[in-house]
Amino acid sequence: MMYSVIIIEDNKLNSKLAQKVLESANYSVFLFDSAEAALDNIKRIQPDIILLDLQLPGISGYDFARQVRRFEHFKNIPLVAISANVREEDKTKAYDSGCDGFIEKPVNTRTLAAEVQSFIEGKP
Amino acid sequence: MTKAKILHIEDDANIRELVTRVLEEQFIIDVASTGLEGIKKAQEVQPDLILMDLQLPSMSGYEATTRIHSLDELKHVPIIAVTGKNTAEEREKTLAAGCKGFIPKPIDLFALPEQIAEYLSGKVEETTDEKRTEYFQQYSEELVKKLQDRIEALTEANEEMKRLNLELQKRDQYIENMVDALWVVDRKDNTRDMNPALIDFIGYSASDLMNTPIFKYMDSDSRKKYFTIAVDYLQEGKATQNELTFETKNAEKVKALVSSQPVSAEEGEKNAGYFHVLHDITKRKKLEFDLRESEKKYRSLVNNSLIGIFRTNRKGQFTTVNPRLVEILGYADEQDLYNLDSAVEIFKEPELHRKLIKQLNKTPVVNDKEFTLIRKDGEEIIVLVNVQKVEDGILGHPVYEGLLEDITEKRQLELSLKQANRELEVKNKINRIILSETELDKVLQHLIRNALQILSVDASALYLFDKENMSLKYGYGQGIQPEWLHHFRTIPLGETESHFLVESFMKNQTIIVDDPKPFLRDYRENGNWKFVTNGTWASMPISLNDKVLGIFLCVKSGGTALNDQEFRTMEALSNQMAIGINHVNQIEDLNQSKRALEESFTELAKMNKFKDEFLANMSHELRTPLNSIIGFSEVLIDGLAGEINEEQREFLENVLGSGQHLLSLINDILDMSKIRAGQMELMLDTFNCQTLIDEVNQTLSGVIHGKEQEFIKSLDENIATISADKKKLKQVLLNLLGNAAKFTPAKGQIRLTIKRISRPDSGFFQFTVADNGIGIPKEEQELIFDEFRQVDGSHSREYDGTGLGLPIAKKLVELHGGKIWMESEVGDGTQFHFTIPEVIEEVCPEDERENEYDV
Repeated sequence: MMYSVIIIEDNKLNSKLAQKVLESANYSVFLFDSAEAALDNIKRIQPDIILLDLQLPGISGYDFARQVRRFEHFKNIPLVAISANVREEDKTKAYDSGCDGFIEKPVNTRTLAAEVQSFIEGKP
Repeated sequence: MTKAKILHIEDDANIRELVTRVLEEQFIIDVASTGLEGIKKAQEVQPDLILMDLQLPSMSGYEATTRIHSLDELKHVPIIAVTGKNTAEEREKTLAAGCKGFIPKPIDLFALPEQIAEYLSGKVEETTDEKRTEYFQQYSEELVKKLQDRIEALTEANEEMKRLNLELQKRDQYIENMVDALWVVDRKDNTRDMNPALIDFIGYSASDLMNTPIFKYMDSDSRKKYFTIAVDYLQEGKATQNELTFETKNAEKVKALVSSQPVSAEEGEKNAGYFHVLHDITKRKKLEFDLRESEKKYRSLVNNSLIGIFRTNRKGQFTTVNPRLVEILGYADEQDLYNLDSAVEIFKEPELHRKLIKQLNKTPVVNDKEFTLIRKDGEEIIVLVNVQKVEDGILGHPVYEGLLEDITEKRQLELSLKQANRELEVKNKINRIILSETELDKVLQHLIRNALQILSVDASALYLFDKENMSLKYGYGQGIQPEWLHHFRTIPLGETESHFLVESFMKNQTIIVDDPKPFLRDYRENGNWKFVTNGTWASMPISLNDKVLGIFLCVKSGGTALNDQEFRTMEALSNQMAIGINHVNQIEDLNQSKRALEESFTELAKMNKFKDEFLANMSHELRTPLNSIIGFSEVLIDGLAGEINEEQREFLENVLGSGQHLLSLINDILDMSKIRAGQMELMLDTFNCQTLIDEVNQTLSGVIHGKEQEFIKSLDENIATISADKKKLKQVLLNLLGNAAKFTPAKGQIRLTIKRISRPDSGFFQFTVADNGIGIPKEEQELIFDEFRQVDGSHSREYDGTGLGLPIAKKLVELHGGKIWMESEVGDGTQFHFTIPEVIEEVCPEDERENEYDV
């Protein structure tokens, strides 16, 4: 079965890298460069997991996480932050906003797919 | 009727006498002492009865009886035998000899006359033996009774004698014990008797005195006197009393009142001698002398007393004074004082004298009363008076006598002592204020207020040196005229040197002026200067260690100057002020530095925040491109974008390695920043130790396999789990093992050993990372845990690294409460050891924080 992944990332290089790595691992990847764009398409896509940068133009990653959690439908969807903000306070803020995981940048491309899978399968 | 004639022949005159006495009243008695004389006498007087003692010398009574009866004319004269032998044989003999009767001796004299009468009347018949016996018996009984009576009488007489003897003895004793001396002399004045008191008195012994003339012991005057006395009185049989002086054996003169009396002599002689009773009056003389002496002493005491002594009559006129009183009151001599009409004249307040007298008339003693008196020279003195009212001996007039002490100095001393005490109190108070008050204004206020309390000045002010404006600035004052302040609230130093305060300040000298106006000549021209009154203006520098801090100005109006005492007080206060001002200045300085420090602290904190933000931003901004660099390198190496050749792979590995190195630099810098800021916290967890080793192994496997190094892991069997911050412990291990791999040549050996070390209090785990690499020189070993050590070192360039790895490892170990150390020999490998306690005490991060901003 192929999992759908939404990646929200305003840095084109980084979203491209993630897309490459995950598609190589057989994920169906949807890229958005803003939270707004992702929110517009989330219902349509019905992703299995959302990977999101926290520093985004417009709605921040934190606000996006909070909004997603308000949708009854996406209450339990795995939300994993991928961020270069690696201070404890950033991580805490991410978890507080509704994230289930936190992946530091730079991302280890060799373990990313496995990590994503464990987040998806770890969820009921 | 004629008396019968009785002849009594008896050789014992006493018996003769006795018998004659009892019989002579009734009878005519003739006596004869021998038998022969009796016969002759009988022939001569023809007696009617003869009493015949039978035991007569030469011729016995028997013979005499026979011879008398042989004479014709005396043939029938009755002869009564008197004998001491009262026996039957004797009686027979007497009867045989022709005696008519028998009277036994001792003769019962009382019964004798009757017996004789009975014989004469012929009533006494020839007695038979029985009758005689009966008669004798009766007679004996009577005699015994009479004898008993006699004995009784004699006993009584004896008792009486005894009593008299006793009385005599008593008298003797009395004489013996007499206090007065008894001297008995004979007519020629020679000593005959004495009592012990005399020996006591004169010092000579009884044997010395005996038979020596009394006058021998008198001095020449008394001796002459004695002779006169002896002639005029004693030889005339008259008693007399005289004071005589004797000389004792010790050649002392002793006086006695001598009562002399002639001793009555036997008839025909005028005097047997004289009694002298000597009453020792030397003691009395001594007493008189002592009295005179002590009077002299008292006189001397009175004259030399340091207290004035006086006596006045009821008018208050001095009648007796001692020299001291004259001295105290400053008069020429005693007479000078006696000339005063009354003591009231020397009282400053005469009313008090009247009151004193009034009080004395009520209660006769007044003690410790203080008065102010006026000496003759007009000076006032304070005196303490004790006086009492007494009745004058003869007339009973009241007089006043007492003691007067000059306590002027004492009072002055007390006053200055009081003043000193007050000053001390104020100084203490000032000290307290100085130490408790931190505001200069308040300190100055207190200083001036308290100064006025102890200094009797009208005004005082404090001027402080104002360094910025080079002037004296009025700080605080009391009693200072507003006009003065109007002109002199600030006194510039440069322009107005002629101002006496400025002069005082510049010269660091106290300046006292009566009229300050000439010293204010710059101001003299302007305005009305009436407020500058004449008096004492004292300007005293307030200085500490020759640094003048200000001026203390005191103003005393009128003519009185500051006395020494006040001046000294002013000095003391000035010193206190210096200390106070200095103290406040110091506090001010301290506050300023504190403020500066606080400011720089705030600044630093701000800077620190900037740094944190900068680091966070830097981290973020570096990670984002690194994400691409590392990520795409991996993607390419892993062939996700198609096959690559070996050279491409090698170059991509170089890119990846450089990217990862850059990342580790960023991570180290962030870690160190966190540690230094005390933000590094332990997240304690209990985990499997083997799992930790496996994870570390996996992370390092690439490097280790790349260099074909051997990694030996040795874990004590008894270690299952460890409680620690797993991530940080892993970081330490990765750092040490990474270094080991880095500095160990290819095919070298790396060893990780974990042991549990038990200690009585608490055990710990000891980790050892050993390699057989190049080793570390001794001089570098000491610095190896120092931050940034490697930045300029050759190693960093050769082997890469921030130099923060080991310092971070050290901090992380210490955060766990463990220790880290190393051993190494150049060329012989290196061993790093660190410990993690079995039980970790969570430390508050604040404690770990370095104190760089803690001020």
